[in-house]
Amino acid sequence: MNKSKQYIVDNIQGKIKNKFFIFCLLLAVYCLLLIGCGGAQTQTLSAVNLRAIEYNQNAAKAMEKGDYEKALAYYMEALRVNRSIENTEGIAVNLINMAVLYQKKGKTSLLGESPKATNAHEFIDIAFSMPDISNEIKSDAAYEKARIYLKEKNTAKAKEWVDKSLSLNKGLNEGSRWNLVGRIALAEGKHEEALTTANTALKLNMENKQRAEESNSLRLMAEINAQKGLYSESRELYKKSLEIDKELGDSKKIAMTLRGIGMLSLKQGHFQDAVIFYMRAYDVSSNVGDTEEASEALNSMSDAYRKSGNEKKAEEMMKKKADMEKEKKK
Amino acid sequence: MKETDPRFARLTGKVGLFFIIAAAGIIATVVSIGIERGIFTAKYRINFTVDKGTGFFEGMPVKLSGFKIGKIDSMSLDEHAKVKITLLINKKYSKWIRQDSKATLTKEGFIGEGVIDITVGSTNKPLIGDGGVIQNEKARGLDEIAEEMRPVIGEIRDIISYVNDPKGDIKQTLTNLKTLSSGLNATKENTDKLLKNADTNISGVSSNVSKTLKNVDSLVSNVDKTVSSMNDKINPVIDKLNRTMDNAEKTTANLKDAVGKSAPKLPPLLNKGEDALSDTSEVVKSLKQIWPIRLFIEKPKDSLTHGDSYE
Repeated sequence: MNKSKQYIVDNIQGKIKNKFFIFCLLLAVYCLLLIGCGGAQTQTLSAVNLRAIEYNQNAAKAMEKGDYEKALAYYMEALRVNRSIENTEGIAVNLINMAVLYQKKGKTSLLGESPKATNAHEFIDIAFSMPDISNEIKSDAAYEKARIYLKEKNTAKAKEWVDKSLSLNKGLNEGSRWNLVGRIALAEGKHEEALTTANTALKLNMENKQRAEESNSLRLMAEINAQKGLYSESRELYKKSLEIDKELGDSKKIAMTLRGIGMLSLKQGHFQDAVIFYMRAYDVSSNVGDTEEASEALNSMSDAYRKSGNEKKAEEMMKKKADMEKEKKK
Repeated sequence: MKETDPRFARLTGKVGLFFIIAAAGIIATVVSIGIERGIFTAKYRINFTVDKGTGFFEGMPVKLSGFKIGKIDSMSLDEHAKVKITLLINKKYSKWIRQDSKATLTKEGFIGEGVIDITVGSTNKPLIGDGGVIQNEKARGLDEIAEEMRPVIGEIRDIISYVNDPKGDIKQTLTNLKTLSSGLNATKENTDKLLKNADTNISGVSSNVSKTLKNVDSLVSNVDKTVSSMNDKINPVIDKLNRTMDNAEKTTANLKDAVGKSAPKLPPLLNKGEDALSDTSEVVKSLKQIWPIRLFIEKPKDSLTHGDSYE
């Protein structure tokens, strides 16, 4: 009798515990829903705004694939849509992107010196003077302007603009700005300054996990060391850079680093090694369809053959280069 | 031996009939496919020459006003190492292809298949006969699209410099408005003081009221002047904006034309894509608004392409 009473009591206690648990669970869900529904609504963007963003992102994808024609057409559409809603940030961003695209083509103007030509400088000037844009965007515009000036070998102006970029905003891209400062110093022959700057850039890029820029810092340091005659240090830095380039699958950079190591071998008088590195660079560039880099590799290969005394091979490489350039002009 | 089972009587005839029907069916199918593909249609050949054969391939469709009228029949190198492209065109469309017609290599949308687009010739020009040569027009490339940027950039620059000019109408109008609002603040302060003193000094009030009213009168006249001056200044601003809008419309039309020519089917393609995805995107949009999903979704924004420091 006692046993059966105990059983009934246990049973009732168990049921109460279960119900209490379910009640608590429901209460928790209710509270969560209350918090959720009462929470701040996310700001929604208009359909037009979203369309502009969609065009912009399509352009970025096309640019990544190297389809510059498609990218430019999409950026122009994004620009048009942003203009239709007076979205100043959107206009500025797309103008900066177009300046980057022009530079990716290796030019600051797509129509040469034609008076009709729009050029990257103009895009940046307008983006920089847009009212109500964030310092982050302004900083990027200034950085692009510095890159263009460096391409045009105007180091003084490039320095002025990269400083402007750094003063406006730092953020995750600070390392890339310091890399550019380093490259400007190197172009001016200031090796020590360039090396200090490249070290700063490397530290920042590692901290901010900017792998591509980290590789750039390493390559820059390798280049500086090579110019200073510190070949073994330079080679090590090039190897580290190559490792990152391969990890990122960046063919242009892989070829660039291989050519750097080739140049280093050439300086050390290891002509056969130099030829092999240049050959590897040529293989990478020609397979990715980068005729400019491939042509540069052939040029370097010809130089290496000539220095090794193989004039016939050197001529052969130059002929190959001429054929490639002729084909490109077609 | 004679077949006695009635089920097998006239079996040979039945099997024969079955084969005849099957053969007739096959022939009908072949003929109908042939008709559909234009095998039995009368055709003729025209050709043009290009420097490079890149982008062309045998069998590539040839279109006129977006309608398929033929295909590339063959491609060969001529004695000058140029590529001769021969088009096989349905005879019934020959009336549209005349001496001033042009053949252009283009694409059906950015991701679409390459096609040869033939323009309709003028009726007063002679027809291009069998074996004749049609003019070839180079398709618009990146340079040509970029060329369209010139007017756009000019206009944006004008607007920005106009807005930013410290001596410009907009900045001047804003300065006037600031002066006006500071005047109103002073009046409000005067009125507040007046009301405070109202209980204690009625006579003082009346004199203050008359002073304040005078202030208000002068302010109102200032407001009138400022408003009329603002109208004078804003009207040219509006005119300029209207002109700019007109230009923008023209430029947009040019851009559409440019993009349209480089990828004539882009707008329909995008529309089609939009239609197909609209339902899905509605569902996704609703989901994105639901808590707690919305907490994890980043607000979309224009992506800024960061230039590489080593490029």
